[in-house]
Amino acid sequence: MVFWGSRRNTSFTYPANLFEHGIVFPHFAEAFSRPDLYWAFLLTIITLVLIDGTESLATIQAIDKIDPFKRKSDPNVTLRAMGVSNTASSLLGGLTIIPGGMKSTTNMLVGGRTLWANFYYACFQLIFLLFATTLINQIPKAAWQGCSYGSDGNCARTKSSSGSSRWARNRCLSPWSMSCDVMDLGPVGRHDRGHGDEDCLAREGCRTSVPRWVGAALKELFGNPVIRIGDGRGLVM
Amino acid sequence: MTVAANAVLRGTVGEMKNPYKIYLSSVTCMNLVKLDAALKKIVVPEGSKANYMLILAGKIYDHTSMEYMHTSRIEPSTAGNTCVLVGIEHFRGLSDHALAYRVSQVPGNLAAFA
Repeated sequence: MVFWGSRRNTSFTYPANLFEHGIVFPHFAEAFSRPDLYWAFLLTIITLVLIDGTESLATIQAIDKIDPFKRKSDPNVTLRAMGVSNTASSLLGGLTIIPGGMKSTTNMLVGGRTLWANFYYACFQLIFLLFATTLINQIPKAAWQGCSYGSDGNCARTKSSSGSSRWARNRCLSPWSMSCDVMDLGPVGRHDRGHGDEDCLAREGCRTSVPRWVGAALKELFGNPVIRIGDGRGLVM
Repeated sequence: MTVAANAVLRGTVGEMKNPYKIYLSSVTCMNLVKLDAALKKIVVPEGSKANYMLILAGKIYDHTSMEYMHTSRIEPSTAGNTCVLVGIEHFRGLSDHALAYRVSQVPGNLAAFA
């Protein structure tokens, strides 16, 4: 599959100006003017609703099992949110929206515990879409697929509770399902050529222009928050 | 989740005996795992109660870290441990929620008294 993907485009191409080329509204008038397509539309809508609903419920079930606080998601709220989000997204020409196992797993692994993780995720995604499409375009599809496969495998491992065979089955099926509905594979490294000098210059520019207090603040935010344990007379860390 | 403010502050400093004094700089969702790992290194003998004193000497404590400090394993529900937050009065919550994001109101670095 990798060799098959190597003959295709290896990364997504996001438009440089998101507002100029990135938003395409649906052509409802043309769709409603073709009665012969009504049945196909209906089948597509029902299929997507069933797939999204099933995947959403499976995702929240898996995420609930790895929630450090053992909280339980409400399936009714999840399905309602999925319906409202998908309706709004479809009216604007967007894709379907469902709970993401990859995002939730990543958030938990890096310490996210509350709904603020969703907010931070949305903010960072918006920032990258608006200001860093060049970086997104350099990410090979294989890397996206690897992330999806890894997190999907984690979810599959969480879902399975009856032994290794079920885990193996889920593990084998996960790349198939992901490759069917998300993306195709491509080789890693094609876009690495020719960008080394620019990257070095960019890093050097950042290093010289960023004030020193920014580094201290980042160190405090990402470093070990424990200054010490004890009052200096006993255990010191 | 709505939590009463007094649920976060358990006990008082005066009634604690030989507490584990844990001085903390800023805690956010980005370094919470390191705090958790550091707290897990504290070994409390079985059958004995431990008193924890979390001394907030950083600049910010986000909602995630506040909720962690509220529901972490050092909560007294497990083994009768007690835990107090010291210095939280120096921080301003960004909402009415008891576990809201908090920013230091004291100019300079609170780590000075740590």
